[in-house]
Amino acid sequence: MTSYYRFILKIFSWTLPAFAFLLVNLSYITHLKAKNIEISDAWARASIIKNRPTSAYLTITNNSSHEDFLLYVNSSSAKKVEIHESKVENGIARMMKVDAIRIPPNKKAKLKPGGYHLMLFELVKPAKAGEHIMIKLVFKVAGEKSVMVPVKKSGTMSHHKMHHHMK
Amino acid sequence: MRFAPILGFCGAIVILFCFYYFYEAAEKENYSKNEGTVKIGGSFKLINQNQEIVTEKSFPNKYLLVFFGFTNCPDICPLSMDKIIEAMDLLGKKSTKLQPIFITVDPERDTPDILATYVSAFDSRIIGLTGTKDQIKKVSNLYKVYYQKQKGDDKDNQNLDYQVNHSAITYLMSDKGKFIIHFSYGTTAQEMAARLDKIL
Repeated sequence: MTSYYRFILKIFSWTLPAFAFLLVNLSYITHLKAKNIEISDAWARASIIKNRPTSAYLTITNNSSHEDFLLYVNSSSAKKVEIHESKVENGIARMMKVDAIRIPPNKKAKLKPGGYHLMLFELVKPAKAGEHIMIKLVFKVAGEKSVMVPVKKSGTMSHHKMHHHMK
Repeated sequence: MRFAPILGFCGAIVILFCFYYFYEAAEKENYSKNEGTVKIGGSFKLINQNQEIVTEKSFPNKYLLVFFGFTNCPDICPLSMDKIIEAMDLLGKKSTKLQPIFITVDPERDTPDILATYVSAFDSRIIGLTGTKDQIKKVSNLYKVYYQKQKGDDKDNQNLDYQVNHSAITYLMSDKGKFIIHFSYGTTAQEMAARLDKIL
C-alpha cells in the first residue's frame, strides 16, 4: 500500500506543478489576448421613452496582427443586446441586425451614430444620464472584454446647450 | 442736348436697377430650381404633441424645416435631430424665423404624449406631429416620403421593437408654404446653417 501511495505522490509531484504552470500560462495568454483589444470612447444614450431600446457606441482597437470579430454582447442592464448597423441608401434610412463586426489587424472599428452600434433591448431600468451600464463584449479571438459605459443625454455630441448663449 | 445729362443719369439708374434685379433673380433661382418641377408640400391636418390640430397654415411667417422619423429609432433620428438643433444654433438670430417640425412615420406607437416626451428631450423648439394612419400617409405623399415597417427578424422583435425604414431628407418650406430646398442625410450642421443663412 505504501508503495502505491508513494507512486501516486510521485505522479502528483510533477503533474501538479506542470498543471499549475499550464494554468498560469493559459490565464496569462488569455489576458494578453484580451489586452490585444482596447475599448475606448464608449457611451450610451439616455433613455427618452420608457420601455424602449437604447443605443450604445464605442471604438474597438485591435492591437494584434490577426483579425478579430465582435460576436456577442450582453449586459446586466438589458435583457438582450444586439449589434446593429444603420444605413442610409438612396435617401432611405434603415437599421439591421448584424451577426458580427470584423476588426482587421492593427485597425479600429468605430461604433458611432449613423453606423454600427449596440442596441440594448428591454432595459432593466431606464438608462439615466450620469449613470453607467456594464457591457460585456465577446470577441472571437480575444475573448471577453467588459466595459463600464457612461450614459449621456442626447445632444451631447453637438454641445448645443453651449451655443444657446452665443447670440 | 440740354437733357443729355439728365437722360444719361436716368439711364444709369435704369441700368443699375436692372443689374440689381437680375442679381436677386439669380440668387432666388439658386434655391428655387425645384419649383415647378416636383410639387412638394401641400395641405395637411395633423396633431401636435399637445393634442392640438395643426395644418400647413398653423405657422404664419415661419420657414418650416420638415423631417420625418419615429421615436423608436434609437440612432439615426436622434442624430438628425441633433444636427438640426446644431444648425439652428449656428444660425443664431435668424433661427427664430425657422420652425423645425418632426413628423412621425409610426403613428401607431407615436401618440402625442410619446412625441411630447421625445421632442422635449432634444429641444423645446421642435414640434412633433402625428395623426391617424391616413393623415400620415397623406402628408408623406405630399413630401414624397417613403416609409415601411420592417418585418421582425424573429417573433420577439416583430411586435414590440419594430423599426421603420424611411426617407431621411429634411425639407425647407418658405413662409408662404412653397418648397425651397431639401437637405439630404449627409449634410453637416455647418453646411445646413450656411445654406439657411443665405436663404433666410
